[in-house]
Amino acid sequence: MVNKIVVVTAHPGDFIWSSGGTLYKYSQSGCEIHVIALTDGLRCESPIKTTDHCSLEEKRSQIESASSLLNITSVTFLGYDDMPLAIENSGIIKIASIMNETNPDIILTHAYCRDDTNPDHETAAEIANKAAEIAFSNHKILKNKMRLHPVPIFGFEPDNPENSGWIPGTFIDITPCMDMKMEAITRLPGFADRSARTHEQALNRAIYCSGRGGVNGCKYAEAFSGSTPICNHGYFVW
Amino acid sequence: MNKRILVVSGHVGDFVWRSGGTIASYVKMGCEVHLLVFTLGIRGESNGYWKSEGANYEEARRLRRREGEEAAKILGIKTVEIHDFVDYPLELDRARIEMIAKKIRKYKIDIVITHDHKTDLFNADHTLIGNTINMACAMASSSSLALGNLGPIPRPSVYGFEPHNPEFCDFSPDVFVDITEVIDIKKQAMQVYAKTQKNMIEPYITKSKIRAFQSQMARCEYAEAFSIIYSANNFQL
Repeated sequence: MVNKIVVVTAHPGDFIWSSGGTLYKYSQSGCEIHVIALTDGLRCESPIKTTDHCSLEEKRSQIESASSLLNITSVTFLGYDDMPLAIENSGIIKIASIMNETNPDIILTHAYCRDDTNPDHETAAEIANKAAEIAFSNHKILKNKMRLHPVPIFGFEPDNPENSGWIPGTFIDITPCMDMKMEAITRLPGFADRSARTHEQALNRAIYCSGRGGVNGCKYAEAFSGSTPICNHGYFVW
Repeated sequence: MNKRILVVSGHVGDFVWRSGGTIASYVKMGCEVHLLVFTLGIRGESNGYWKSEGANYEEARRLRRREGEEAAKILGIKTVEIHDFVDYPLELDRARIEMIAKKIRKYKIDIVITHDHKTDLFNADHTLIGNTINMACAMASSSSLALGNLGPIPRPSVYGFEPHNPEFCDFSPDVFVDITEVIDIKKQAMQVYAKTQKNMIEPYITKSKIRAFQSQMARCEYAEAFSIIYSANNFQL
C-alpha cells in the first residue's frame, strides 16, 4: 500500500507533465504527495515568449494552483537557479531530511540517465538519488532520526527516450485522470506546445499499455523507469 | 535531386507506417523509389483481417497484395516487387540475399531504407532483414563478387526504420525527416490498410508528431525517425 510519495522535480512544471496523471490517481485514493521543486524554472521553464513578465510569486502560484487540482499535499520550493542546476552538499542533506521526515513509500524523480535536451534533469536525478541514499543510510548526518526504510525510486520519461538510453519499466494507465492532468497544465500559461506534446506522449504510451501491456481500454498512459530494485513484495511484481 | 532509393519492407505494411512520408517526399523531389517487400504479413501482421468472419489464406493473400500495390501507387513508388515468402519467421537464404544484391546493382541504388538491424524483441523478421540488407549492400559493392552481368556499384547508405516499440529495441533515432508537407499522402496510404491493420493508423500519426517535437525543426509538425545503419559518404536522408 502506498500512503506517501515524495517527488523531486528539477523545474516545477516537470512533475506535472511527466507524472500528473499518475499522481492524481494516487492522490484520489488518499495517498499523500509531497513535491520538492529544486528550482523555480525561471530560465528554462518561463513563458517569456508569451508574457512580458513572470515574477517568482506568479510562477509559484501557478504551480500551486496546478498542484491543488491534482490534490498534491505540499510543494516545497527550494529556489535554486536552473540552467545549470547545481546544489551544494548542504542542500542535498536538506532534501534527504525532508525525505526522512516524510517517510514515503515511493520516491519519484527524473530518470537516472543522460538527458542532452535538458541536463538539469540529469543533475536532478543524481541529486535525488544521492539524497535518498543519505536518507536510507544509517550514518548520523540526520541527527537523531531513524533511517528511512529503502523504498523504490521511479524515474520520469525524458523528452528523447532513445537518445537518453532510457527504457520504460512501468506503464500506468491514466485514462480516468487525463482530463485533470490537462486541466492542471492549463494553469501554467504559455505552454501550449508542451501541452500538445504531453497529450501525444500519453497516447503513444497507451499504444503499448493497451496492446502488449494488455490493459484493455487504456487510452492514455504514463511511462516510468525504475532505478532501484524492488524486493519486498516477495513475488514478481506484475 | 536524383537519388535512387530502395525501400525494403519485411511485411506488406511496414514501408507505409515507417517510411511512407519519407518516400512521398523523395518522390516529390524527383527521386526514383523502388520497393521490395518480402512477405504479405499473413501470419504476423494481419491481425485485423483474421478477426473477420470467413477469413482464409487465399483471400488474405489477395487482399494484402492489393493493399501493398495501392499504397505504393499513392506514395508514387516507381517499381514494386512484392514476394509471398512465409513470415513469422521469415527466412532469407543465400539465393534470396543474392536476389536483393542484384536488385541493388540493377537500379544502382544510392540509399537503402529498411528495418533497423538492432534486436527487435517483438519482431525477429525485422532484425533479420536489417542485418541481411546491409550484407546485400556490401555484396552489391564488392568488386570481386560476380552477380550475373551486373557490375559493382558504390556502397549505398543504409537507414533503419523506427520499430514499433523503439526503446525496447535499442533504436537510435539518428535522422529525422520532416514529412509535414506530405502527411496527407501518408495518411491516404495508411488508410488503404483499414481492413487489416486499422489499429496502426492513429498510433503512427501520433508517433510522427512526437518525432516532429524531438527533431526541434521549425514548423515541422510531422516527422519520421531513422537510424543510420551504414553511412556511405552521402550523409543525407
